Amino acid sequence: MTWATRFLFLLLGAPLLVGSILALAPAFAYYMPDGSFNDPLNHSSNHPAGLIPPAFFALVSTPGIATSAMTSLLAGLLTPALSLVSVFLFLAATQTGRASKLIAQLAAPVLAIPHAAAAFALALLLAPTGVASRLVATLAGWELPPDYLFINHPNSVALVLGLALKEAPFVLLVALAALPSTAAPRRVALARTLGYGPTTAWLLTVAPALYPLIRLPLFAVIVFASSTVDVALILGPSLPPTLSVRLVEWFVAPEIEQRQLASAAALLQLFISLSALGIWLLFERLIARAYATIAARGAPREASRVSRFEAVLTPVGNALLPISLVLVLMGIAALCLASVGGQWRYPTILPTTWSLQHWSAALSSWQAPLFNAIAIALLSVTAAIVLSLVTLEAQARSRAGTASLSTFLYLPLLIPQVVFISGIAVFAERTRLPPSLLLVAVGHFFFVMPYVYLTLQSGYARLDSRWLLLAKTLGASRTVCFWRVRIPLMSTQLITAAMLGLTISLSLYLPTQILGAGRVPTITTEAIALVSSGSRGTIGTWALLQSALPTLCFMLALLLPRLIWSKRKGML
Amino acid sequence: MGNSFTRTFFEKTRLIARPAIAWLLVSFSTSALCQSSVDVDNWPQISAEARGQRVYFHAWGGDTALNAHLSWVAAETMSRFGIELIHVKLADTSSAVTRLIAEHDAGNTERGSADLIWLNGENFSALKRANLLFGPWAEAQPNFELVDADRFPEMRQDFGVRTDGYESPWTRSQLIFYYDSERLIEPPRTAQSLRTWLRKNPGEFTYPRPPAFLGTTLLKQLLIELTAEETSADIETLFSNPPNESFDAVSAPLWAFLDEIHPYLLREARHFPQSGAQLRSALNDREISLAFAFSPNEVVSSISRGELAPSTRSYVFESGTLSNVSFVAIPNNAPSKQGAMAVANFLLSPEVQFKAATNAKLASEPVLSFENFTPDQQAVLLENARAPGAVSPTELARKIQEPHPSWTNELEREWLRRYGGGR
Repeated sequence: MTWATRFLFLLLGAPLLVGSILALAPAFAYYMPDGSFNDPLNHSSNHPAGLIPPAFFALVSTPGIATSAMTSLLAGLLTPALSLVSVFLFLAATQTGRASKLIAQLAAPVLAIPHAAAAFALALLLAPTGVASRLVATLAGWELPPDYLFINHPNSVALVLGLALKEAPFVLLVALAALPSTAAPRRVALARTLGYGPTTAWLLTVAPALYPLIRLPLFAVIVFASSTVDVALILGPSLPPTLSVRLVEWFVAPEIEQRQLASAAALLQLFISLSALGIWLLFERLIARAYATIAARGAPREASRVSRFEAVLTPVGNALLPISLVLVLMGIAALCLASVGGQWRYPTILPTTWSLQHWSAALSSWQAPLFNAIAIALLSVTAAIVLSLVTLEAQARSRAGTASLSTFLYLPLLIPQVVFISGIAVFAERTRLPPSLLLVAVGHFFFVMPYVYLTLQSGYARLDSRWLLLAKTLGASRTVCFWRVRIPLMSTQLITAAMLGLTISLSLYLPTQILGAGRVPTITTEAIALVSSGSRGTIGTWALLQSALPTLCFMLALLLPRLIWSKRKGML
Repeated sequence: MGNSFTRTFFEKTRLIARPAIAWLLVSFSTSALCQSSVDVDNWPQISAEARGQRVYFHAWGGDTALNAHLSWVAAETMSRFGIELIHVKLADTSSAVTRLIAEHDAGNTERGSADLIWLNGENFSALKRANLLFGPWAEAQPNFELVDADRFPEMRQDFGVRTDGYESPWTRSQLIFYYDSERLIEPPRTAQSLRTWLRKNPGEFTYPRPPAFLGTTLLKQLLIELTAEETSADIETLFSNPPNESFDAVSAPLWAFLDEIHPYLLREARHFPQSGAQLRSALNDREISLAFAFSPNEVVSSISRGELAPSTRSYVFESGTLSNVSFVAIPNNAPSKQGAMAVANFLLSPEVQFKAATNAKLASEPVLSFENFTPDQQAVLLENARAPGAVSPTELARKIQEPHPSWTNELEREWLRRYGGGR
């Protein structure tokens, strides 16, 4: 292990550890001075010797806590499952042909839209007073909106759907990036000579090779889905809410009793997220076994049965992902409508009056949040790129292994955000670090770093080392090799890493709000604060504003390499 | 967004109305006694020292009309007094209180992050008793006498807790009900008639999920009204005392009432709106036909913003509705106390009060007594009171005072216990 790798371990590991400990510690406090209504002595007398801290009793006796935990667990399992199935079916059905390229290009901007904005878009479409219901009302002649519960339903279907809409494009892009190394066309060709249809062939031969390459990103999806706050607030159930939502409610409460409850809940959250991972691993094994059995059986002899299987899977695979993308794009269109709508009562499909008041109100107060957001994003992304390059370069020179580091880098994504960020905030307050833009940028760094590092790492791995060898034989020093050969050849990955990092930083809510103590407003914190206003127009405007910058970054990530390499072949 | 900032503010501040008293006392009694040496009675000196200060005003930021108003106030304080006023827009005011507590916990007694906080209710009383607030200062402000606190005692009472000069009033609120007069001819004007009406019109009413402030406010309104009907219950216990072992008995009629109406609520009470703003959207989309707000001018300002139909009307229950005053307070670790006092005084000036009241999108209810406005201003205010959707001053005179702050917490706790876990 190189010194740079060790440094990075420490730099990321120490705050993670300290943050998590500080966030979880209050759960183990034995005193419970909540004052007026509860006698703290009762707790210890009811529970002999106080072996289990009272916060855990309080947590267990909270009404509906089991339901909350179960909802989080299910969301954590169903979201990645739905995303994975739709992406694999899509890739199998399209065989990474032209259609998949088109969809991938459509998926990229969806990836850039912040989760909260996408959730609002979905709610605006599917609520009883949403656009879909208005369309039906116009056709069927309804005067009043139907009284049905879909968004916020206790069964969490809307929550899982909303999360999967955002996660499927992510899984798709990760899968597409890994696909070349699986030699998919040859596998499919081989399977087809054995009598399988193309979709079945892909699922049986490419999927098992591709899956291990996208496992870690999927794990991040599992943890994110089981601990998301903003999406769960918008689309999730309210009676009771998901565990993560309740955790944040308790964490911001002023009483220590509630803070202790929040800490106990954070521990439960950690347990739920890890359980989701564990169950996922279990299913991995079961499915692997089923796969082996199916594959060993060989292709069915009768042609009709083959085609029947194909005939179901192919259209489903073709349709699922594109439909979800269309859903998001329709939602964005609905947000646009809402942002320029004045009076827009049910059941009219379009607003009856138009107005720019939401935009003018937003534009009068967006300079400082915009400046902060960009400054934080640039600071955290620059730090992440520099550190990644230093580490990767040191590793390349010493030929040290990198596998453990890349797994480790996923840790900030595998520990629920609420857990360790709140601990960092306590740490900052104890060490008297005032809330500042810099502190927020440091918080963002932890979430930006994994993506930046992994993108650059793949760039390092992909670069043909013979270029560097050639440069050395021509007398170039290591420094010259780095600046004149590696950096220019890797500029596509550098741009991708930077834009990915910027996108992530720009849409982070919790770290900004908690570490900035409200003094470092960004576009995202302003958007979420105004979302509580509940006005469709304001929500639409800010959701679009919040989406604009990340989308711009994504477009740059796609366009810049094309511009830079416009006179070169084979660089993209 | 709300017209009113008050309504929505309270919704986001519900956590403020929670008892932290014991812990506060235990934790901070040691660090609390270092008040700085600001001479509140020497106003010229305060004004002089305020010049050049930077004041962080922590206030809920979910209302674009209020945000715009405060940025106007900031521009004025800069040009008139040389004070840089920064509105720290909070998604949830409780975070400011959490922060204040954390700062004191960490021994930060001089360079706190907030100079002025929009506070109310239980949190005020908790912070005041724990000596985390600076004061007394409010009654030393030159403009304080304009509220005529001797005639309007509510200017010195925050949820029944005496402010003792630790808080300065800046706006007031009252629970009002509203409906679309094109859909509903005769809205219910008592709790009992609400129940009868709801049976005949299932799905046409709901309330924000407690502990969302507006939802809890409805619980308190119903509790007071239902308790008053019970001849055996002593209504005074609601106002003067924290809930004790009589809580179950006193609140039993409320829970029976809720059990009865829940099947008739929108979505059969399987999901509640999160805020008054969502309630308003639901009314505007005709999902429900009766809604309520904690701001007398809610309907007027919403009509002007296109968020409610011009045919919307508002009213107050026959036996009156809950009302209170909103205050600002200064933490005792605020670095810019003089600046904060100058800002609070400016917020009390007839000019700012009039501006906030006549801003159609904001329509805040002034705290100044009427005769302290100029005759021209009075004429405009009277004219506004006759606008479509406004509640008449005679109706608004039917005010009910807030129960003792600790009831809020108990009601929320019990509601969550009964209904918060789902079915």
